[in-house]
Amino acid sequence: MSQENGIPKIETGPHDVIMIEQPMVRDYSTGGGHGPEDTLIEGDEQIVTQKWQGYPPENLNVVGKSMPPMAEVAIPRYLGTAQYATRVWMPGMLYAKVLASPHPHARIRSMDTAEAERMPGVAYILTHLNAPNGNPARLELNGDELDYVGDIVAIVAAETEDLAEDAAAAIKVDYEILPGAGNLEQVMAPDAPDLRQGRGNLLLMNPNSPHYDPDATFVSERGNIEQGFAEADEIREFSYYFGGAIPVPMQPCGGVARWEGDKLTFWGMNQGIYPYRADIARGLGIDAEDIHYINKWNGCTFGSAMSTSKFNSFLAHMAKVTDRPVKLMLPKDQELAHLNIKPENMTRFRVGLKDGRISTILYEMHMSSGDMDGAGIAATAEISKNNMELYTADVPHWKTLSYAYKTNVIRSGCSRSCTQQEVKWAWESMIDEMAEVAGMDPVPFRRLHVSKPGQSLTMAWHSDFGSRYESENGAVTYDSFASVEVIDEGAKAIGWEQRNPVPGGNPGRYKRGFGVAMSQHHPGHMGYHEGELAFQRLIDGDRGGPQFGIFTADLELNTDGEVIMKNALPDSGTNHDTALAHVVAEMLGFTTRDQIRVVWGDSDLTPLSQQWLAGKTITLQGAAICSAVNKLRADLLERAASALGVDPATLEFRDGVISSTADPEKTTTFAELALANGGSIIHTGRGVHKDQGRALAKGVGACFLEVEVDTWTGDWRMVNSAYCHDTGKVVNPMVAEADMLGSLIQSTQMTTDSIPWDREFPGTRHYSVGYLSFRLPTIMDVPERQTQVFVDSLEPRWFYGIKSFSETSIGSVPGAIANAIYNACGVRIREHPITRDKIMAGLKEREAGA
Amino acid sequence: MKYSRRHFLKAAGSGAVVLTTVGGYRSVAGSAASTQMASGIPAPMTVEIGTFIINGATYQAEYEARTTLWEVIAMKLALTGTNRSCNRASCGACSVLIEGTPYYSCHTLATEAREKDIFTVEGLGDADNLHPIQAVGHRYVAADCGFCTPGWEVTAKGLLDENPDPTVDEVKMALSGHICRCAAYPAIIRTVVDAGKVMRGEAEL
Repeated sequence: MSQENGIPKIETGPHDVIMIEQPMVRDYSTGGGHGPEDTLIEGDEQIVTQKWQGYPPENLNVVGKSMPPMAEVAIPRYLGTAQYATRVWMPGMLYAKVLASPHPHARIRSMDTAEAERMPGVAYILTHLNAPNGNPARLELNGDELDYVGDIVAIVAAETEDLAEDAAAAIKVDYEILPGAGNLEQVMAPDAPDLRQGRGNLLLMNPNSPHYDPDATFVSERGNIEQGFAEADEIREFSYYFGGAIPVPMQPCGGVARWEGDKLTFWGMNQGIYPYRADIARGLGIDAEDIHYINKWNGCTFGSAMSTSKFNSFLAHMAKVTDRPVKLMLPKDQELAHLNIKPENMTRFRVGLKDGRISTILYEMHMSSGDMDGAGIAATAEISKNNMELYTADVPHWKTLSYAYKTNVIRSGCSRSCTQQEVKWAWESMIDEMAEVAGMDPVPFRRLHVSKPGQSLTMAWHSDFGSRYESENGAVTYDSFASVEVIDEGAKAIGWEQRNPVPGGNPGRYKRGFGVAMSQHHPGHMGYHEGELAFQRLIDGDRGGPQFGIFTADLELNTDGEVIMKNALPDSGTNHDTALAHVVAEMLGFTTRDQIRVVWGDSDLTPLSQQWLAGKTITLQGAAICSAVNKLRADLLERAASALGVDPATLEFRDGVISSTADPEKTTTFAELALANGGSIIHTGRGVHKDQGRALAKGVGACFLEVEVDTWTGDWRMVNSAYCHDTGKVVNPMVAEADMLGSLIQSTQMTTDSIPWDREFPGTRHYSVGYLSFRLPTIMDVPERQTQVFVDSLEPRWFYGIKSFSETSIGSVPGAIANAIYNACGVRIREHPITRDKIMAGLKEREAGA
Repeated sequence: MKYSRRHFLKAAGSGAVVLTTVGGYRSVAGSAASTQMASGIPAPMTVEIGTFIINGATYQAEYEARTTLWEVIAMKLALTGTNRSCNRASCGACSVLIEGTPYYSCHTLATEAREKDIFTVEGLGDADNLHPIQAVGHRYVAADCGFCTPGWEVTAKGLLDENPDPTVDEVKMALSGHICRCAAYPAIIRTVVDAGKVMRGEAEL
């Protein structure tokens, strides 16, 4: 707070951020220099684009400045007026309740809804017997087989939730219980039941994939691991287990459907509107144009909620049949069965060390894929790519073998990052253990191994879905990849030099220790510079039809000189429109963000876009926005030049005023130009999401922690954290800080909580009851200090050097916790979750050994 | 009163006529004191009619004995500002003040709160006149997704009414029953401490 007239003023954050600036000229593979005239060669088409798209990160007025989130998005959250689907209310609304399968694997022999239908207030009961044909959820209500506890048996709509629940309980179902496999141990057993009609429980890639293997889901290798192990000085083996985790959104998943004649209005909860509008249209066999889809605010989605939209077409159908609005708010215990989760997995490493460096890695990972085959196959590929990249640029021999199995549990998928925490936990523990084998401090050991700018990517793979991911022959190199900086700056910020090199070596009951882990993500999917060419190919339907990967935005200049962004994407606390507004303001020469407005999340008001994912909104929806701003800029220059009779090259923009540097008398304004054009000037921008191609920017992060372990009880707490991110230019530091506070704590929860599979129903793989047995961090659990380290890596491909970084570091936290606890008390926990019991058991073992 | 499905669907059909846009919900809430339920809705099995004093205004609602306070506030009276998340008295999102004390409205029976002073987020501030907790919160990004926000704001109001100058530990104790999945906790702590300063005139916005 600053003092003014003796009274301190409440000012915005950030509150605990260290900004690391880089020199503008860096020796990257994409070339040094920093002028807008410098060029980059990008993408499969070898398209030549300007560095920073012609907008260098210099002399900025809005980008990089801390400002509270945009009022129209943020203020309603504080007032209680943000329209979550759960807040939608109208008279005469029916409430839906789900009857869920109590069995991991079963068949419905028969069911009788007659008595339930006669109960008070019951309007309609939907089951697999009367469900509409072609429902898009495919696996739901599509037959009599139930694949996991929580699978949908029936949905009841009634006057109140209580009455609907009464009726659901009165439905008589005769289940034939089938043999099932709920976890890896069961599905990998020799006598595991057949869950895929004779096709085997191990999921296999398309045989045309270069990564196909008849005995594994995904295989990739470099060099010759047999030779590597033969030449190694030392060989070690490690095993790690991850029990499954989930972030759990606050808002109950669901939606509201209301018909007016043949027009449906649907209030949803997800990360986009158009893909889910299309799902309902397909499910009901109606025209998407007849659906008004609204989704502006969400109370978290975390990627997990993406799969809950399976209920949408059922709700729409029930609303049609009953001619009443229908609302669903899933209770937390049932919701858990429909979220994407971080899957249970088991990792084995065999690692060779030669001349003090890792020379050979055999990585074998088994995961429980849940009820969806595709999710498991995609995840194994994603896992292999993400993890092999971070440390293998200089490892001559490695092989990755991934196995995904169909199981009778909920599906794996995006869940506060896609395949990060659940597998990096094993990698980061292994790197620490190998540092100890090599007799090195884990920080310099990581610096030695981590991939660095100028090194080639080691993964050359093709996804199973036919899209090319990386170039052949390792021709793609890392560029703006601040891998060394995040380690060095993080070590400084946490005070790594205070670390006792002897695990458990500090005296006393309360032992402190330090830990580090790293993480890497793919913020890059650069949608812009392949731009309209690639967009047109998607429109023409060369892959996946016109909805695949398209992002569109409208930009409207009005007679108040305001620029209105029209973006389809809902806000889940993501504040992405705030970041985009900074970029728009900067590009149009504003010195504040005050003139930028946003309209979002409504299919009647905003143009087609896919959905946000993987923390890449700034480059996906951002591609569309930036493209629209470029068009608006060019148009305004032309209009102003014509109106003023000057050369457009002499014109400059400042806070909505356009003036000529040649003749200061000649000025006009944005507002006047809008007025002259009949009240507004509108431009549409487009961008694409087409996998990563070669135009990829990678981000890297590190988490440094200081923890304290109570060696009498096994309790531990986080004392201090330095969370380091390869950020590119940070658009809005205070919002970035807010986002990263959550990232650290959510990942901490994933480290210490497994999904409470059987706490409530011992002996089965039942999901427990929402928050009751699921310990979520509260205000009492936050560390005393949470420092963010933002390293501006000057991403050369994007406007102002921006790159997404919201999930670059998120995977590092579990490993950092495990490593810090080991350093504090000498107990190495290789079996997730990290609990007091395991710490105590380890301490007792150490005591006995000593 | 028993309803056959046929009878019910017939009634439901006429009920659909009264539908208006969802934006109209405020005026529905504002009409208050209506003991009439929307047409076509059958009477609950064990009817009670109660008076609720919410943010100073008096409302009447008809509900079953098992109905929770949240269901009366958000579903019967359409005061939708209060969010329900866990519905198991674990997360605090649905908190309201009853006679100044925070309660989880998802696990308070409506009948327990009859004729008592209830305070919800709607009583805190509005767009033109933000309460200091809301204004400071916005400046500190104390809400990311915002779903838990109305709950902790109401509890923080209850705390500041009792203790205008709380320490960080007192704020943490008071808000320990609130889960924020975005983990904005450090910003929430700062917000409550500094909103207290603003309310005491020791800091300004």
